Amino acid sequence: MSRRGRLVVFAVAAAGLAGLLAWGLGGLPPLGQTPPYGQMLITVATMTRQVQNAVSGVNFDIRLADTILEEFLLLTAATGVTVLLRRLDDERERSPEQLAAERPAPPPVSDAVRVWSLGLIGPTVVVGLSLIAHGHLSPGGGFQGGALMVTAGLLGFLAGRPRALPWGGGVELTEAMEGAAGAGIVILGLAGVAVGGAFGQNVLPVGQRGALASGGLVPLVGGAVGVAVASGTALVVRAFVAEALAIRRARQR
Amino acid sequence: MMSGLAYGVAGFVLLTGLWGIVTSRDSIHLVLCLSVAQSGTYVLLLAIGYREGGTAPVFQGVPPSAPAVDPVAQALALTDIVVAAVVLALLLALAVQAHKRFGTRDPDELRALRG
Amino acid sequence: MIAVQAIVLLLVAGGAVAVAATRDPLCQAIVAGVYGLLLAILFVVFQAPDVALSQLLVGGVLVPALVLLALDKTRGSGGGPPLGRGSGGGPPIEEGSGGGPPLGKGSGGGPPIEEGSS
Repeated sequence: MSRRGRLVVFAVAAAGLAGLLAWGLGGLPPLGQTPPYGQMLITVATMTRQVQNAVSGVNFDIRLADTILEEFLLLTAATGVTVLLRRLDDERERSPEQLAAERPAPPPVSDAVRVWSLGLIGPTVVVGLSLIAHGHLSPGGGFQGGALMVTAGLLGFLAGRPRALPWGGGVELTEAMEGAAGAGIVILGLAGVAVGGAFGQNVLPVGQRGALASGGLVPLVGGAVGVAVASGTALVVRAFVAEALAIRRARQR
Repeated sequence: MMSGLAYGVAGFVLLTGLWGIVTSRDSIHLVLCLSVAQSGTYVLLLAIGYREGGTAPVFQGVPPSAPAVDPVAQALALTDIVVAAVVLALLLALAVQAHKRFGTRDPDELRALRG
Repeated sequence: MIAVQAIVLLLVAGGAVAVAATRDPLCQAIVAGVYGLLLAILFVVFQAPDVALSQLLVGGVLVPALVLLALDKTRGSGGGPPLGRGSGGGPPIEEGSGGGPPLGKGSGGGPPIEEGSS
């Protein structure tokens, strides 16, 4: 189909979609009138589970099955990226010196960028760990803390040293961590089944709201999710970075 | 009026992303337009969960009986954002491999796979 | 509060159009980073700090980094213009469509072997 034809079809389809959206979204309650489902969940999360951050309580306790599915989605996508960017038979990795000889070298990394990037790696990792650990107390949690830890690795890449960080200790260790963390979430959910309750039931004492040790299973699940997200995203970024150093011999067709 | 604006912007962002995808000549540009379309759904989720005069659903120093916005919409949106980034990486890897095989990033030039 | 929300909503709508309308992926990555920042501000204004934190990290760091890495791979390998040479402002359409000369291809159907338009 030609480009013009495609645009015409899209215009018609978009008009139809816009009409449907206007009809559907117009039937929603006006902004600010939410059904009381949210308020009930807040009461459950704060009173029954003693969790200050209701969003973390919802993610890691009340809707744990949802989080497990999202986690497996991440795992599948990371596997897909690693498989897609694998080293083929007619490629080999080359050193930065060969790379520099082949094409005009990029401008050297300035000292300011290098100092700041390498200096910020430590605080970034610490803040990431803090976000994961205090997920049930203040805004944050496993997902955000995990993404922040991968940022620390990218800082090393920005400083011009793509291998400065071992990306979590090598590919095998990172993959093992991701698998273990993903399984850990499911096992923590099954702990509820083990005591005869529902899947994901809080089996640890909930403690006092506001204390670090509160919320029962919520901090543990948050920690497992943080490790899983960090290793999954680190695998993906590592696949891209490793690909940037690969060579491609002329294919014989 | 405010609700019309919020929902309208969500729908508009979705349609803009779709328009960018349809008129794209570069698969990486296509991937970024897809992320724009996804962001429309985040805006919609948060608009649905919003509550007039509500505060954030984090009760540090705030009694839990205070009116707060819906935490479920936020929980869905935040897991969605992180996972969507990894799926975006998968699409970028597809674009890279397609470039390796066909030598171009133009989606119109990606004909049937060969051998 | 309502005025702030309305302003940020309109900015987000404008930002979305800007991202979709920027054709060159290198410029678009930066515009997408700014759009992610606008979205994070919108999420804060709508009382969602967790989502804003997530969006800042993902839309501000991870997505531009991955796009830049992918751009580097799809240009440097086939002998196309390396990433170090910026594409300036408002590149012609041909720059974005090719991404560099194709690899040596014998079987028919692929694009003909010629110097990439630059």
